[in-house]
Amino acid sequence: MTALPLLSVRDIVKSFGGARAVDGLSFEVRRGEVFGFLGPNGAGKTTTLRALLGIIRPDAGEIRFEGSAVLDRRRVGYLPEERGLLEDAVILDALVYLGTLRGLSRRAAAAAAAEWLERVGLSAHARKKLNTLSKGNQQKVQFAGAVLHRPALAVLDEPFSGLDPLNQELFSRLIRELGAQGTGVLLSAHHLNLAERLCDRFLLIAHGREALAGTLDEIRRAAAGGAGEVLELDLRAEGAPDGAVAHVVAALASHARGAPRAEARADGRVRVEAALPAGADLAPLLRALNGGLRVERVHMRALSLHEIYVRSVGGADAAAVEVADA
Amino acid sequence: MPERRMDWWPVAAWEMRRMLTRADFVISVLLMPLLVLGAGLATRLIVERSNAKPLRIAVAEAQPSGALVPVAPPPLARVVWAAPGGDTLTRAGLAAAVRARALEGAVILPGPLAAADSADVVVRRARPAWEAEVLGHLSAVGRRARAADAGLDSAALARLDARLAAREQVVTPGGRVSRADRATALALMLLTLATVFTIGAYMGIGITGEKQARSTEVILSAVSAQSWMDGKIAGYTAIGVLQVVLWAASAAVIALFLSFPLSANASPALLAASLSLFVAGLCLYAALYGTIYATIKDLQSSSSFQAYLFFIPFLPLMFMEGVMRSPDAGWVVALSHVPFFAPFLLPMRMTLGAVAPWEVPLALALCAAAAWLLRGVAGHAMRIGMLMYGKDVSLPELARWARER
Repeated sequence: MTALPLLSVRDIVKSFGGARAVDGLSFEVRRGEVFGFLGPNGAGKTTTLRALLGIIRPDAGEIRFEGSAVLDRRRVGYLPEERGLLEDAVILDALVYLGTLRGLSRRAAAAAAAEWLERVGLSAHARKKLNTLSKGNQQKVQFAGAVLHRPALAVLDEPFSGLDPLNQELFSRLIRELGAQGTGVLLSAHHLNLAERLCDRFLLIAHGREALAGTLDEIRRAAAGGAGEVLELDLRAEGAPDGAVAHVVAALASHARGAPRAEARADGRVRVEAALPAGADLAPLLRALNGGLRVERVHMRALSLHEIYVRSVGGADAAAVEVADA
Repeated sequence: MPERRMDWWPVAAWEMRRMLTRADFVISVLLMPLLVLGAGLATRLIVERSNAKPLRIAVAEAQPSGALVPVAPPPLARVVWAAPGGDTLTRAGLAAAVRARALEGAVILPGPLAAADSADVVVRRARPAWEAEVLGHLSAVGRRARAADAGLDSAALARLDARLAAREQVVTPGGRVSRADRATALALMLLTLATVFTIGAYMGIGITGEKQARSTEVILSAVSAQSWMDGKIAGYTAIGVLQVVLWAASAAVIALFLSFPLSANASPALLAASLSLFVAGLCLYAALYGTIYATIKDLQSSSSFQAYLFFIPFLPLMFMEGVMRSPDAGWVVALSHVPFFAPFLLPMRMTLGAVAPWEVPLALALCAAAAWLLRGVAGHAMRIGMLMYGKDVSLPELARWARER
């Protein structure tokens, strides 16, 4: 018997005026998994999240939480993209309030708030007002408010926003812990390197529709016509005849998925990158590297989530531009 | 989506706790009775000092030559008949003395008091409070002089002047209204009005403040928009009740302290009915304010349509004088059952003793029903409008919201 998904979204549609923000989106979030919900700005992510949180109602489609059409808001936690804090409130009071809204008694909420402030390193600030904290620390309080009631489903919209790398690591660890405790985490983030490390499955959307869905390997295979790996070449072009690099790029283009990219480095080297089908034969490509060029490094790596994202929701042209930024 | 029972309570408790720990709220609630006490004491002091000070008034009789001679009428309480002389005993001199406040006023008779049928009165400002009393006194003196000239003794004159001794029988409950009744009715109305406005202001801060801080979205992921709005309405109504109870108790203590008589109609029944109407009315107004604030980002962004709604609590003031004059008139009875007016007008009418037993339950039921309906509208407006950041809503948009499910 298949385990009932924690959250099941089927064919939801939501329009504002004449614009269709969400157009027949379907996905599931399972208990204990971190589910990456990705897409460019304006793709319909926040609208979808608001719909599944019961803040807005979809025009069509079905949302089931633990098999029921009735959302039990006490079992859900939410960290919105934009900070939603009661800024003039004392931090501990604000967290206790959020806990009581989620069904905790004041005593239980106070204990949970104190525990979470300890975990995010803000115990000493418990009696301060929220607006006295830095942006990153406010985000920590917001995170604590979203999960202090141990929700079955945590919806985290851009949790890494405003955090330094150390605190990004702290949040990554906390999110993993939530998953390990059985909480389903729906993570929407533009920090794709972190999402790639954290998420068990992904849904990439564009224009309110699904662009890619599955595990990282699955979406990697499906991305950009089967390009699964990236060939990186570092070439020394000094003394080579004019057009040698262009010759290499042209030779790669006949094998690559999308246009290869050549970029001159400050140290005189040229970095050439090309997305190749998984298991591509490199011999004919390497034979094209004659003509006076010196090959200093050859490296094959898997397509990153960033590259998958750009190729699937940004188009091939954007992929060519962005591929080196991964 | 079904609501959890009582999930509005954490919102209400939060609002109450937050308000009761706000320094400005505590100060305003405690300061108001002190201000009223101070104003009452100051007014009383001024009136007493004013009453204790005698009025210097000159009475003069014009001679055929045009010269004036002073007249000393019989004594009159609080009045000292001045006897000017020298340069003062001319029309210009008397006017100068009055202007210089050496005299409170002057009365110039065209001839002997017994024959005078008119008088010139010199005053600083038109129709001073003493004028009617002094002229009435002088008229009576003149009348007695004329009667004596006609051979009538004082007993015969008293018979001629005798007024009908009336024994009034008031047949309607609100027929006899004392100054204390009026003052109590006015105090009740002003207390209600002050509380409605105070709570409206605090709701504005509470709702638009949360919208601007973007915390509404987090809260509405935990409770429904309706529960959130119900919690706000309940919380601020409780705050309002606490405020008005404190103010009313303070007002009663101040009235006792200043020896100001309370209305004879003040009774536990009146208090219970007024408080019930007040609670229902405050819920209604909180729901009205909730609806308004749900549709705006902040007070500055409200449209003229929304601004008109803010003036609804002022409307009962327009009818106040009519209610005071004729608390049992048909139109007053009808208006005092309109939900937005009932919390103001019905307690006033009860204080004036003009309310039938069926009126309070009817008005209470209508007010409670209207509050219940409007809190639904407020919750709906909140749910539809909560995502509207930085955008003003128009009347057609409001109508469209009402149709959205």
